[in-house]
Amino acid sequence: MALRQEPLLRDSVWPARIARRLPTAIPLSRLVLVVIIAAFVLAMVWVQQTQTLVRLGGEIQRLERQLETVELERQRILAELAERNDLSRVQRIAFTELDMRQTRKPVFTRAQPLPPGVSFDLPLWAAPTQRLLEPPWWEAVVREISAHTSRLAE
Amino acid sequence: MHIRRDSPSSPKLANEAGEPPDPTRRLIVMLGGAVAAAGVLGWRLYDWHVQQSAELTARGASALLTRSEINPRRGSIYDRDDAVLAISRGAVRVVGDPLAIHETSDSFEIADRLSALLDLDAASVAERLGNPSLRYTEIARGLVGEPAKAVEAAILDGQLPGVRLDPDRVRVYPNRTLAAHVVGFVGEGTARPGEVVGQAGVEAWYNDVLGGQSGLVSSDIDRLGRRIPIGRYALQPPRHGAHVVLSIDRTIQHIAEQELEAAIEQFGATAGTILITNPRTGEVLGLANRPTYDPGRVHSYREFGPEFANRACSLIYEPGSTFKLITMAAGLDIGAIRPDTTHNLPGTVNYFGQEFKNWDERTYPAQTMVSVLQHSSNTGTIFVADTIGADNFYEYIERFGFGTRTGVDLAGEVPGIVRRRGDQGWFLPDLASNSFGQGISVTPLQLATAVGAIANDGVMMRPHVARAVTQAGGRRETIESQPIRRVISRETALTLIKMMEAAESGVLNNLARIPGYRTAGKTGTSEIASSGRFLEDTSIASYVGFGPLELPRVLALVVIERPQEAFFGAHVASPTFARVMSRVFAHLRVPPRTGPA
Repeated sequence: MALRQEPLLRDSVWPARIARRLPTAIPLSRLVLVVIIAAFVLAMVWVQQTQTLVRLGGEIQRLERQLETVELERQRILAELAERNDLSRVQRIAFTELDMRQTRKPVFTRAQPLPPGVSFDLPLWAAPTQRLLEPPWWEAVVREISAHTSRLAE
Repeated sequence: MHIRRDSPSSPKLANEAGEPPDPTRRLIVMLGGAVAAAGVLGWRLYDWHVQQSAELTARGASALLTRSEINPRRGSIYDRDDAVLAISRGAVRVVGDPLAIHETSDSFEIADRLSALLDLDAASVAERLGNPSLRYTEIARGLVGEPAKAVEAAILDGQLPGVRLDPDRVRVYPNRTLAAHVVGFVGEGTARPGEVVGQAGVEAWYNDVLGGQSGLVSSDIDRLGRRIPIGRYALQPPRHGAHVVLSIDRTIQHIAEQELEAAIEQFGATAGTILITNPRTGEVLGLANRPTYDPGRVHSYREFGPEFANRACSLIYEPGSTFKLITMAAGLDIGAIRPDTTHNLPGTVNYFGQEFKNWDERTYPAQTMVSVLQHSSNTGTIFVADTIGADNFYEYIERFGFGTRTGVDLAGEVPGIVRRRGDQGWFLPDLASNSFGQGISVTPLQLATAVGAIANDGVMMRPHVARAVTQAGGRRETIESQPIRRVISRETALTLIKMMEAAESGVLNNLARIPGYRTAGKTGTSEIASSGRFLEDTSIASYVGFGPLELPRVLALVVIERPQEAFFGAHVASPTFARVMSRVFAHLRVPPRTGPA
């Protein structure tokens, strides 16, 4: 029996319209089955999404804890570094372990012309890095590999 | 075939007539039971979902939802070169569960172990752990380093059942006593648990900046207190505290503290202050006080003694002859005197019934105003004050900022004591004593700020110890230097500096002189008043000066209290000034005028 001839569909208007659009060959039981499967798939997708959300939530919490740990570690290192840089401690080591003496008369000397980019206004470590005279060994290796790759491509 | 014969009285299979029993009655009973059960269930559901809906929903929500405050991280304090002066770091808190300890082991044994590990009094630890009605008691907080590791190891070994470590934070001052009075210290606040509040120095003045704002997190949690990821979650993140960058140069600070300690030891003094500023900007480069304290160990002090007082701005003293610079500046600026104005400097002068003497009681006839400074003549300064008059004199004192706070960004500044004409207790002889710095009380910071105005062409700058604030996000806001006002003309300032230099060069064996550098300054020796009279054989020796005169960048004020081995500022404070300035010049790479080519 065709779907559109079902008594249930015949008695109402809009199901009849829907029914007219449906292929006549699909039985009702199959339609119900399709709906059930679709619901099942949707439920599975929802469960999957929820699971992903839970996993990501847990991951965020873990990262937050890790961030806090890193921040605490950073502060610990800063504090220890400052303790080691304490001038009283540095001076004690200089006098007792390195046998240094405090100068009573600082000697000023006229500076030679400085290399370009180096200023006495900056601490020495802030001076720009000098260019290397010879290229590093890995530059030659990289050049060889790229040349070989080009040859292969040709 | 065996036929089963049922008892006729049995209703199970057939009635008396042999007909099967009618199930209708049973069905009715069952149906009635089911309807009743459904009714009860329905009523309960109606009661829960309709009648008690709001209340139960709220109860359920509150059972799941928790709100907790997130304490912000307190900002750090750096010196002008970004060296750490104060920083907060993670620590642990040793916490005990007295009930658990009572059930599993002996509280005295645990107390013994803990006190040995933490160097605590065993009796007080035992007292805290011995009350089984408690589930929480704090044994120690702010533990870092070895003690924390030792307790952790003991807990992991099972030696301390019922004891655990909770996360904590501690304020660390890595340089210990260095710049203690500038940096200050923190204590516990009362607004929320774990709150840290600045109690002194920059920690107190910039507490709002350093402290930040707490955040709030509300989320659904499970039975074990874990956040439910798909539950409700709202986060108002905390605003972490900003970092404060000070104008203090820790090398200059170290020099000041070292030289102050050396001077106190050398002269057997009880206390002292060295203040180093940049008169061009008002920046405080170094501020040393003795006695001092360790801000990281404030809890170990029994009481807040004199070591906690920031003598540079919280205590007052009579400035003595260093104040003659102010009187001279007023006289020059008004035009009442000139450097070459001559006057007899009698050894003793009677001013409205009160006798005043020169420190050496000698008379210097026909002396210029430069000589007044050179001989540090009290009678000469009285002449200047008398010439300009009391009204003008006190107007200049006010202009130089005496009697009012400088506005420095440090907690606990006091305004000093200045009695002006017309004030209760002011008499005419006070004009004379005030002119050479007696009968007037100032803070070292006020004097340094006022003399700084002379070094800065007559413009007085507001002293400050912070030069920048770096927000937690990295944005840096510079704190600009602020001029307070012009107190004397540029010409007056330049003239006075020349007079000071000339007077200094005329002093024999001037211990404040630094070879190769042009500096100007003034000694001061003030008597200490106590119970209405001046104490004998004790003084406050001081020296204030600045340099190099080509462009004054450094001003130093040295105040040494109650030196035993010497009395005068010229003997006690001048050599300290010279040592401090020569080291500071070397540190700032200020070359000498006559150095090797």
